[in-house]
Amino acid sequence: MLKDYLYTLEWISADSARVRLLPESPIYAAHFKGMPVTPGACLIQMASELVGASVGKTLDVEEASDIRFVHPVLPGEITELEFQYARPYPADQPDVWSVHILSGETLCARMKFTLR
Amino acid sequence: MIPFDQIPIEYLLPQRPPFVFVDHLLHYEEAYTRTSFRVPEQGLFVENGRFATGGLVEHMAQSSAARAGYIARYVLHIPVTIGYIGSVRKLKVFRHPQCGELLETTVTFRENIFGITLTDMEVRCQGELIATASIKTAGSDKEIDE
Repeated sequence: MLKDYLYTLEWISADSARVRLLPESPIYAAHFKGMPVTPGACLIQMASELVGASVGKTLDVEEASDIRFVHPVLPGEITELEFQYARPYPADQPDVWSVHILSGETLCARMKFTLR
Repeated sequence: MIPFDQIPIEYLLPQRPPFVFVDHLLHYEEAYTRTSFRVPEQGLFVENGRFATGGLVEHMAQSSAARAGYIARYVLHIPVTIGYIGSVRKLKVFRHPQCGELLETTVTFRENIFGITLTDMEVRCQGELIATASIKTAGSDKEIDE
């Protein structure tokens, strides 16, 4: 959905993925004009796309107990993001994922959600 | 006084197409705001005929932004400024809306502390509750360039 429109995939594995943001994406001209910032809603969608790609399924967020955006992802400053993901309760709740989105050492967002 | 639903949405929101996910403000009072959005046939967050969760979250956040924009432009008479999502909690998507469906969303104001606004969201399609969340948005003093 957002792949090749907002980002390109550098690599992906079972527990992490690296993406390159596309500063020329029309999203950045619209959010916001003259002050581009990656929308938090897009980071949520990217997280579900990447986790889905890692398990070979199309997944979307059905529930989220906690999603926090802690550092703005400005395309002029941040060109690549790393998504690190894991199942915190693999036995009891295998659909629950925890995702950390980082730029280098800087945590940009963290989320815990149910994907189906 | 212009009716709420005749206010052009770009008067209230700093986002611009193709990243606008509220069509109209339907009602404003401080504690309680309503907005609408018709899911388009194609566009961002639309895939396989349905509107993805990212789109629902953005619609909810922009519903809060439309409330803030109304307060700025029509209550305080100051410029509309940009804002950001700080957190999304207690998100539940009971079903994903289909293309063409009309979303009507209620924004219940909870608190504003140091520029962080907490609102509770209920998204309905023809009265059916399809999604809920508590969203914190952070304001700024930045206006967009027109």
